This record gives sequence, C-alpha cells and structure tokens, in this order.
Amino acid sequence: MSDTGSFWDRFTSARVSRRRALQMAAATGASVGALAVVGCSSGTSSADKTATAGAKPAGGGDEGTPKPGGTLHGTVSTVLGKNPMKSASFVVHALASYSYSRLMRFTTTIGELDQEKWYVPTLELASKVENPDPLTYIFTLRDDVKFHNVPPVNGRKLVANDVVYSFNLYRSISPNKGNMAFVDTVTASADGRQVTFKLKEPFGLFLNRVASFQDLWIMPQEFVESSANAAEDSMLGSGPFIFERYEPNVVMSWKKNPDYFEKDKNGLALPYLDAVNLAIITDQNQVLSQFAAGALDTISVPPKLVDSVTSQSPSAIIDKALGRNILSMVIFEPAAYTSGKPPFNDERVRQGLSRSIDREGLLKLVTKEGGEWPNMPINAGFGKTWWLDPQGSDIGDVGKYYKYDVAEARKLFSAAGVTSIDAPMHFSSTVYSTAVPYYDIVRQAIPAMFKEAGVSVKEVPEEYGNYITTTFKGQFDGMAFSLESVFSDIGLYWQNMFYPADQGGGRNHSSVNDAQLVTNIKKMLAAQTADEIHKQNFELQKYTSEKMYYVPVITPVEFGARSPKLKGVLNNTGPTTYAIGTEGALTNWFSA
Amino acid sequence: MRQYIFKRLLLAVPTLVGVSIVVFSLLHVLPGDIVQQLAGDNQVTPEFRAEKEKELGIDGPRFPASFQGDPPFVSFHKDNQYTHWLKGVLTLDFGQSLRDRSSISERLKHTLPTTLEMAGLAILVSLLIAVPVGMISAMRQDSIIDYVARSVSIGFLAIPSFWLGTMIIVYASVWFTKATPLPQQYQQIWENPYENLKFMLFPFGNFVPVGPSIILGVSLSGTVMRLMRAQMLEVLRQDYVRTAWAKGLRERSVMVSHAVKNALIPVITVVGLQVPVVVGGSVIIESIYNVPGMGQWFFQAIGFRDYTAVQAIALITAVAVVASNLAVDVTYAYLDPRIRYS
Repeated sequence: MSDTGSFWDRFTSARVSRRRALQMAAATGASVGALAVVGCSSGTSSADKTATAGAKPAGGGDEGTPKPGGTLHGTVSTVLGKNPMKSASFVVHALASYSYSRLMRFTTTIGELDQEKWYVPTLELASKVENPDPLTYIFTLRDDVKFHNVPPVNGRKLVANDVVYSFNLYRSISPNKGNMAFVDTVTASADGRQVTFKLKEPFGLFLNRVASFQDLWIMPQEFVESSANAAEDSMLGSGPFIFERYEPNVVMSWKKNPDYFEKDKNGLALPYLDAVNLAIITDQNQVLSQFAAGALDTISVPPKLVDSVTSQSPSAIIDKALGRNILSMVIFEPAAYTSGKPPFNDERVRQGLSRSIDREGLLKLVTKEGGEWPNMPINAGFGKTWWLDPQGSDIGDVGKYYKYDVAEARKLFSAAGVTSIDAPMHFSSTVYSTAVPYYDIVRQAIPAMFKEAGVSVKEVPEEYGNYITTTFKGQFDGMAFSLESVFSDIGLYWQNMFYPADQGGGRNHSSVNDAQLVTNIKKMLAAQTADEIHKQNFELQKYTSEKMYYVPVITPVEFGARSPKLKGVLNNTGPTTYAIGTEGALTNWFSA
Repeated sequence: MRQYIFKRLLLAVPTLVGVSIVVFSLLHVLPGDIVQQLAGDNQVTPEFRAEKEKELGIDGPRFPASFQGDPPFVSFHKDNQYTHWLKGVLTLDFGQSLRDRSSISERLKHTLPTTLEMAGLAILVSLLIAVPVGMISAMRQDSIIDYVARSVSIGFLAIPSFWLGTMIIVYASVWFTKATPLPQQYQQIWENPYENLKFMLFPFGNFVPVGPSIILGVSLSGTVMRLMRAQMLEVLRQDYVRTAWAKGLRERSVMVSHAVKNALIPVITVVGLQVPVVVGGSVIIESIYNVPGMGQWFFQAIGFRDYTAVQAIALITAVAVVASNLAVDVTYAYLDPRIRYS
C-alpha cells in the first residue's frame, strides 16, 4: 500500500514552504482568451449518429434575463497566427473560434452540464445529419447562415460549396489533415444545401471529428484567395464576432456579428456582447493584478494563487473543474522500443516507475481541490464514459500499476534485473512552466519520488523551442516529463500516440511499436455502436496500463476567476475551452 | 571633430556587419526552428518543411559562400539569405516576421520609439538620482548623509529591477487594487505626451513614481551614484579645486564649475556603457509592465525562432550601442577641453 505520509512529510517540508513564499511572484497559469473555466470530465459517444435538432445555447440559465451589450475584457498570452487551417496550435484555434464556425460543435450549456453530455457533438452550421450507411454522412446546412458583412464576401449566404472548399483547403494545407485521412470525398448537392462525406472506411467517431476545434473551420474562398496572406492577416467567417484589430503584443479584438444565425431560447439574438478585447499579456502577475483592479473580466488562475485572488477580489466568482485534457506523463527514449535498449525496454521497469509516483500526493501538492489520475492515453478530463479510472474497479488487476508503493517498485526493478537506474529527465524549462500551472511543481517532484525508489534522475532543462523540436519529437535519451496537447476525441489520442509515425502517429514520442495494439485501435475506431467503442476503448486502456509505454501522472482541478457581473459562462468547457469564441463568449453577458 | 565622427561612423560599418553575421549564424545554430514552431506539436514531414521554407524565404543557402571538405572547398551563392536580408536592411526593409507575417519595419516604428523612450527616461532618472546624491555624499563624506546614500546605492545595486517591478505590480494590486494600464491603453509620446509619460513614470496614477523607467533608472543609479561619489572625492583633492577654494569662491561655484564637470567624465563613460544594459533590461521590464516595446517582442521572437525579427532587433540594438559610444566620446570633448579629436 502507499506510504503517502512519509514521503510527503519529507518532501513538502523541503519544498512547499519555499513555494508559498514565492506565491505572490509566481508566474503561472494559462491565459487563453476569456477562459473563465477550464474543464473536463465525461463524454459520451457520437455513435448515436442521426441528429435533427441543435442544442440551443441556454441563454441565461438561472442568472436572469441576458442583457445585450458590453465588452468582454480577457487576456491571451500569445498570438501564434490567425489562420486555423495553417496551424496545429490550440491557441490559434481558440482565437479563430470567435470568427469562424464549424458544421458541428460540442454540446454546451450554462453552468453545470451533466458529465455524460460532455464531448457530445451537436449541430452548428448543419441543421441535420443523416448516416444512411457506415460510409456516408449527409449534412443539411442551416438556411440562415451568412458570412460576415465585410469585403470581399459582404455578408453572402454560406452554401455547401463553402464546406467543400474548406475541406479541400484543410486537406491540402492543414498540419492536422491526417485527422480526417479516412474521408474519401466531400461533395455538395446541386441546390447548395447538402454536403455529403464519403468515408474510405467506417469511423465510429466521425461526428466528434467533424466537431473538433482543430479541424474543419469553414472559410469563404473569395476571402482566402483575395490576397496571398489574407487568412494570415485577418479572419472572416460566419462566427459570432467580426475580427477588428490585431496589434502584436498589445491587443486582439472583435466586434459583434449582427447577422449571426443563432438565437437563445428566448429568441434573443446571439452573441449578447458588443465586443471582445483580448489584451496580450505575457506576465501572469500582470494578469492577476489587472483582474484585481477590474480591468479584466475573466482569467484563469494558478491553483496556488486561488486564495490570493479571492482575498484581493472577494466578489470574484471562482469556477473550478477538472483539468483540461492536457495529459501529463513520463515518456521514454525511443531506443527502448525500437532497439530494445535497457532499462526502459522492460515493462517491469516502466511499471516500477509508475508505482514510484505518488499521484495523490502530487495532486495535494498542486491544489487542495485535488483531481484525478489519468489513464494512458485517456485523461480523466474525458469523463468516465471514455476514461477508465485507474482507481476504479473496472480496471481490474492492472490498476495496481498506478498505486504508489515504493517497495513494490523496487521489486519490479529487481525482477527486471535492474539494480540501479541513472537516467536524464528532459523537460521544457519555459512556456509549459508558465502555461500549465501544475507543470513545474510536478516536474520538480517526480525526480524526488523516483529517488525514493532508487532511481537517480539528472534533470535536463530545455528551452521550449529546443524541447518541442527535439525531445517532443523523440530525439532524447533516458526519460522526459512531457505534456500531450488536447485532442477532441479519444481516437486522436490513440492514433497519435501509438500509431507508427507514417500512419498518423504524430505524437508517438517514444516510437512505440506494438502491431497488435495498432490493430486493436483500428478495430475500435471502425466500431459502429457506442457500446462497442466503449468496450474496446476500455480494453485498450487496460492493455496500455500494463504495458506502461508512457507513464501518466495527474489531472488536477483547475480554476478560473471572473467578475460577478459576467454571466452566461459555460461551466463545462472541456472541449470548448479551445473554441472559446463560438462556444464560450457566445453566451456571455454582463449584468448591470 | 567632424572628421573624427566621420571616421567613427565608418568604423561602425564593419562592426555592424560583424554583428549581423554573428546574429545570423548563431540563430540558426540554436536547436529548433521556425518551421517546427509553425507545425506545432505535429511531425514535420520533408514536404512540409520544403514548402514552408520556400514560403518563408529561408530555403536557399544562408551566406554568399559556403565551405566544404572537398575541392573546390568553397562554393559561392549569388542568391542567398544573408545578402537578400542585408539589401533589405540598407533600404530599411527588415522583411516580414516569420511568425505572423507582420512587417518588421512597421512594427519597429511602434516598438523602437517605445523602448528608446523608456531607456532614455531610465538613464535620465538614474542621473537625476545619482549625480546629486553622489555629489552630496562626497561633499559630506563620512556623515550620516553619506552613510545613508552609500547604503541606498548598494541597495539599488543589489535589488534586480525585474524583482522590484514584480513586487510593485503584485503589492499595488494586493494593497490598493491598482494595476498598470492595459497594453492597448499605451499611447506614443507624440500621440498623447501626458498619458505616455504617465505610463512610463507613474502608471498607477497620483504621481507615484514606480513606472518602468523609474524602476530601470533606480537600478542603474546605484553604480552611477557610487562612481560619482568616488570621482568627486578624487576631484575635490585636486590642486585646482584647492585653488578655487583659496580664491574664495563660493561652495556652489567650486562644486558646479570645477568639481562636478571633471568628475562627470568617467561617469559619462559608464552611462554610455549602460545603454546596452538598459536595452537588455527592457526585455523583462516591458513584460512585467505591459510595455509594448521592442524588448518584449525580442524575448518572444527568440522563443519562436522568428529569425527576421531577432536579426532586426539585434542589429538595431547594436546600432544603439555604437551610437551611444560615439555620443560618449563626443561628450568627452565638451566636458574636458584638453581632449581634442583630430
């Protein structure tokens, strides 16, 4: 059994006091747009594939009648571009979501949403989806969608050919185009109202993929082709806000799209806000002080600073939810899997390392609200429909590999014939340490935990530009503490992290080469019923929990703070965190 | 003097070319590149790399000549990245940011004046603090005033400006719920001098002097203050000062006309050398205070391997350093009539 107390008594006495002393100057926390809440938890299948009614934004919840007007002041730490078709960055997609729309999106409501409804694709530009056979999806478009009333498009109606054009653009230039490699053709009907997707092979998570914030944003051809860099310099879509201004390192702003097609349940036009201004602020202390001074309406808050924010701004509303679907993990040198290089080629060593990690202790160290343990590769943020809880009963015997037990870890090392492990551990010393509040704390704690189990770690800090182009790409020795970016469905995690690189394994950091696993993933993705997908997904997680190709770490609760005047905030923004414009700011409003 | 300045300007050309070559080369030695940054977390395929490099104009040879182990050992490239960039620089066209395609020259128009103004004000603040305090400290050597001034100067030297700035930002919000203006509220000095100076000097209002220029200036003033005191003590023991006292001149006259002017010569040298320190300090201070200047941009550009932006900023910084050194040398002649450049 775990021995949390003994380890943490020693560890926290050495580290936490210093950390507390530094709290006020800590520079942590992501500030992507108006992220009031970062969230997660459960999801359900898209396998219920015929939908006829979009889930309307709730418009008000129990907060009173929404009042149109006002400007949302948020913040973003960096702007990496404006063209969602040309970027893989979630930051670009989050910003693009103010201006662009998709065929589908994820279910949203104001306030708490039943966890089982998270990650459920729902209709956006489409008014109906039909799935006559496993290889065909027919989207009927809404009749009331117009592009922004800005040259050269000038508010013309969105038609099926725009979807076809956008898909072809996506397939030719998007770094994420592999996500829809299973699509064979996309065609428009003669009347311009329907788009038909023909698949090369059955794909049970197709609607999730269409709803993904990383893929099919609809862009008008005449805008994209109006100049060589039109979509890099500006944004023009059918989203709720019209792009207005970008000044590097200063601000990015939008104004309300008066012709936006959605209305709330009371028939009031959306969005309610007149404008959105995102100040570009790189320093987290500035973010917190601006919020305290009332200059920002919504921010994300590093867990350790929640009390500080509350004391400075007693009226602020603190929202909390399980961490976003960023997966924290220890990864191993590719040589372990490609050429059997010891010691990490032996699964007992990897299992031992997993058992050396006191996840519950880490969660307590990161935030008093705790959190969950991720599986591999499914994060707790996906919720129990998709995520097999390592502490639950369903995981069976392999759940033991997540339990903290130093003695058992040492036994596993001995069984593998390893007497001592002395390895470098690479990590990003910039960007992650400020963008993900818990990263640096966990990164410091893991070597100390490994040491308890007799594993000596030499920390190798790498500047992010170096890290992301070397270690993250699998060019490293020993181990690394890494984060996996967010994907909008479980299939993308499985494909990216376990497929060979040339088959879509873009995040197979350690060059894991398990043919049986790949076959089983393909089998799951081809499954056509929700039950079958879930069953196979869980079986796969049991398998990878035993293999421990990567060792998952923690999923902490994360926090957002907002002005009490800001209403209509979605408290279920697991997937929608990354499409904040369409699915977040759309329903925001200010009370008097 | 004109001839001297002309010679110095000519000598600055190889210095700047050297700086540009070093910056151009070292940037590409750094692990990671812009193509990978643009691909995000995705794998960069050879096709993607070739396409992006061509699109960004970084696909050809980097320098006019390249060396190899086999004969003819040297290859010459008429069309190369460095020459192309240099030609642009000569027409003040620094190209486009590789990261977001914004025009570097356009962006410099906004950020360079901001950083130069902040740096200039910082040096002014440091002189306004250091010169009188150093003078008084020397004039009242070993008095309470002297001890206090020396302790304060050591304090200024010991406290990093980024720490002081951070503490001010944090505690202003904790104690007074005050924050500096948002970056979009910044206005250039020619647009709104009052708001601009307020941003740089009194960002929390009420003329509380804790702005970025003040903090940078305070940090600089420690060195200058100590140097000024030491120089004044030395000058005050010179024969010509004793003569001035013997002539019955008033203290003010002795100090201002005879002592300070001579004591300032090494101080001016140090102030000149502080220009790169201030520009370097602006990298962090601008982030802390939300100042939309060149330093903050530089910091981000390095992280993103935005070569064109980094090259431009580094070159401009080098120009500023060369210019400040020249200005220091010219100032010598003004302060010390014995110095003549011919």
